[in-house]
Amino acid sequence: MTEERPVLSVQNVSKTIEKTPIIHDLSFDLYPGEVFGFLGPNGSGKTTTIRMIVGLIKPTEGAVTISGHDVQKQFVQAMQNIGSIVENPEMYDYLSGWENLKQYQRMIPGITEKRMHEVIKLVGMTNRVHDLVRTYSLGMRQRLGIAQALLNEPKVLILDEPANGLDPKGIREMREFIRTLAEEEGLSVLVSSHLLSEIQLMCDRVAIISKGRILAVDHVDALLAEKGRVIWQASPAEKARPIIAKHLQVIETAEQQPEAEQIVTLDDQSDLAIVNEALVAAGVKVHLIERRLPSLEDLFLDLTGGESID
Amino acid sequence: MINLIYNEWIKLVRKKRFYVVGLIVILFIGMFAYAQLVQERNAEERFGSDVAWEEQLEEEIGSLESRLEDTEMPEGFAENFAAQIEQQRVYLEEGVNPNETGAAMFLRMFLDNSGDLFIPLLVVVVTADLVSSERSSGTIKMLLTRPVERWRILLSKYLTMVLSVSLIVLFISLVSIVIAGSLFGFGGWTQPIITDFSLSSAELTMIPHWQYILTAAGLTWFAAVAVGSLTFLLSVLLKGTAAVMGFMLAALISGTILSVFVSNWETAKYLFMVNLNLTNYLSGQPPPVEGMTLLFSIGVLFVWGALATLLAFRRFQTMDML
Repeated sequence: MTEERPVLSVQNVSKTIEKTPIIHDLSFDLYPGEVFGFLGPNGSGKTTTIRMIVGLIKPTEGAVTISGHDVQKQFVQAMQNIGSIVENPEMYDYLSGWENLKQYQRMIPGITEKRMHEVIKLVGMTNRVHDLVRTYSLGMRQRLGIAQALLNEPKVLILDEPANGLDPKGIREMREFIRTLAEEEGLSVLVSSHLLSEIQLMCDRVAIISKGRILAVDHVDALLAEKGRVIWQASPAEKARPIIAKHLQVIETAEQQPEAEQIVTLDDQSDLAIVNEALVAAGVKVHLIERRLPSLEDLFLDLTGGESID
Repeated sequence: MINLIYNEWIKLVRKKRFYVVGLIVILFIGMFAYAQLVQERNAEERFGSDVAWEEQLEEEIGSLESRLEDTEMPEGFAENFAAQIEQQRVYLEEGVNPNETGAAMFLRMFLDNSGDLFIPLLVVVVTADLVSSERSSGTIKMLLTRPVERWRILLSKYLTMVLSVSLIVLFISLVSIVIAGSLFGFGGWTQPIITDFSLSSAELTMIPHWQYILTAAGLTWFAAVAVGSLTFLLSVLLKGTAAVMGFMLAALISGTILSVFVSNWETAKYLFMVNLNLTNYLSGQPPPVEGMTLLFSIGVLFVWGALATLLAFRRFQTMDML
């Protein structure tokens, strides 16, 4: 995948607003057909970065290129290849969904009404598209937002917090929809979120951002594998703990009670049977041994040194 | 570009701001027309319908003269009175009845008196939220992430402003003609009127009403576009529509107040708001500050409008949309 040319490239971008540095030397690439997660707490600079990608604000330093076009120097060509929702999908609420799309259709040469019908069908808005946007639920606005972003058949789609305001069913639909776009249409999707579970479930790669800096960029699986965990349940726990600690590094998790029978250790890929044997020989009852990938939450806490999320 | 302007036009119309302006115009013109009707009836009662207009005019001149002599009034007011008396005399000499009523006279009077406040106010109402509302509602993000340069989008909004100004002036003219026409008759277009009257030179020109009206409408349109350009700049700079409106209304109203008191403050003539009443030069009213001429006022308005437009475009092009 890395041999392909990136469709979106953010190169050493910094932004200072009124003498306050907001973004520090940010770099990452998006390749065709991948879903890229942009993960960070609120106020970490996700939206500011996205605004720089779509040319709403100008980077103090660095450059953004979309399909090889510099956003600052070749704005029109760059925008032809990108569709976006920045923050909330704000529409003209005194117009209908159709009239809103029509506004954008008139602005982009070569977009037909046929394409409008296509995207409306794709987001499942056919029934309500002629109603005033004022009457839409947030979920429907979100869908209309995606419809307008897809109108110009972009190569890159940018969705800022797409799960905002959606119910669990809506979130699942959105997730499946995004995966379909990437896998079947070959779109590159940048999804920002402060919800770790969201990113984990739908992204191929993820950039973790905090206070305007990228802490890590990697494949989700790779990031997770590095921090694999083993969950042990054994009784009595106080007897089991020193035996396990002899072989593996025990991790104290926040919610762990001292008397709990659960012990969490790092997974260094060693043979767990040996540990199990030692436990059994010492007369400890082992109820459960489970290799588990960590949640991004653990990962994030690890990377930021305990800065809270949200 | 046509598509972009069409987009703006749809937004403007669907926001129903235009209907409000239309309603205000109809209401106000109706009120003025009714006032005119009452005044005419009073005159008839006073003089009787069989008294010749020459006699009425003479009596009017007499009363103006006695008021000028008897009362202490500020310099500006006195000049104004003197100018009026002078004009009435000329009408009397030329055998032209200046008080004849008809749609043309009503429209002329309305244009003479609405160019410095009424029409600019309507322009402000329509223009104030052209850019600011897109920013405060967040739709600017959708608008500026299309493959269209920023200056094109702003230009389409600017041209929409000019179009709205034109429509407002046109609509006011049409409503005046319809309302006044049905009350006083549709005639009077060829009736002569004194124009370009000045106290310093005894020169005077008589032109037919229709010519006067076209000139007045053109001048009013020009002043309104200048006001529109300034409003447009504020709409780019400020996020809140209310702030834009407040600012412009304050400027316009202070302008009408200043025009009365400003005669001794020489440099005030460079303020745009004391230059808005361009039709004053046509009807022969003395300017707020001595030495101001029609060309001077047009120049001042042009410089203000052009600078505002330039600044709006420069600022918008590089602005961070936060």
